[in-house]
Amino acid sequence: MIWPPEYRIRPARETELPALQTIEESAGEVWGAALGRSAIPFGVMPLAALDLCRVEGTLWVAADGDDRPVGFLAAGDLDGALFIHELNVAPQHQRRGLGAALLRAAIDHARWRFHPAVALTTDRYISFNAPFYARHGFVLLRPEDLSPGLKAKLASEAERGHDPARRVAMAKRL
Amino acid sequence: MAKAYWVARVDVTDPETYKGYVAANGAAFAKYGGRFLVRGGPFEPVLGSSRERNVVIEFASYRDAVDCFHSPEYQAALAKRAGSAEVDMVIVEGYDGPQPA
Repeated sequence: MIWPPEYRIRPARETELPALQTIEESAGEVWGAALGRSAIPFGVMPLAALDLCRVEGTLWVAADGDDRPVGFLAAGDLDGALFIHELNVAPQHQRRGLGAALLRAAIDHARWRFHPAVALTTDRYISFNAPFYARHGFVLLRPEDLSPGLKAKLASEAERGHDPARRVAMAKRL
Repeated sequence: MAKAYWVARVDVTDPETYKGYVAANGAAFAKYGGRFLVRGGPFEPVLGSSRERNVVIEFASYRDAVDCFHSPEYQAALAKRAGSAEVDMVIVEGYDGPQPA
């Protein structure tokens, strides 16, 4: 349930991409605080990457009552699965169900487009990371179950300075 | 003016091919103002026969709904799914008269 009800989930527009970077930055501060280190070194999704998702129809925003984006989910195909690149909600709009609503939109889309699964990588311990996805039916993947693409994602995250002991891949079968 | 609806029931026999159609049909719906009201949600087969994928798409008028189906955009998308699904579909005009008391 989204609260308040004037929020709505819709596809992102091209002009909104820079605003999505700002949302990711501000959400990164909350995420970094939960992790106990700054998220700044990890950067945000480049505009070109966001635009690829938008063109594919797999970039959704949660818009407020004035139709301004306050959260977004960016996804794309990875080994046939729909892979969630980023899911962020601006701090002042968190804890209102927007993340779950964005996630539902992505899952509906994946089902509709015959993706066998929705997949992602996330932090094992932060409450609004792996435990959040587990509540929505995602399961932790064992290293031997990873597709080549997911393996590569985790490897590149480790290279960029993420703690490999905390990063996990999860998937929800459809 | 009454709206109109595409009501379709689909059994997909070849998902790989059908995927191409799903990816391509958006252009026609965008042009004719088609809006998904039902898009493959959970359902109860309570009477008669059913198919696995149920779709209801709303248009502003009967004319738009019919024109969309016959448009080059939709026919091009349709060609991509040839042989990949069994489909029952009707285009039906909406009702905007009084409701039974």
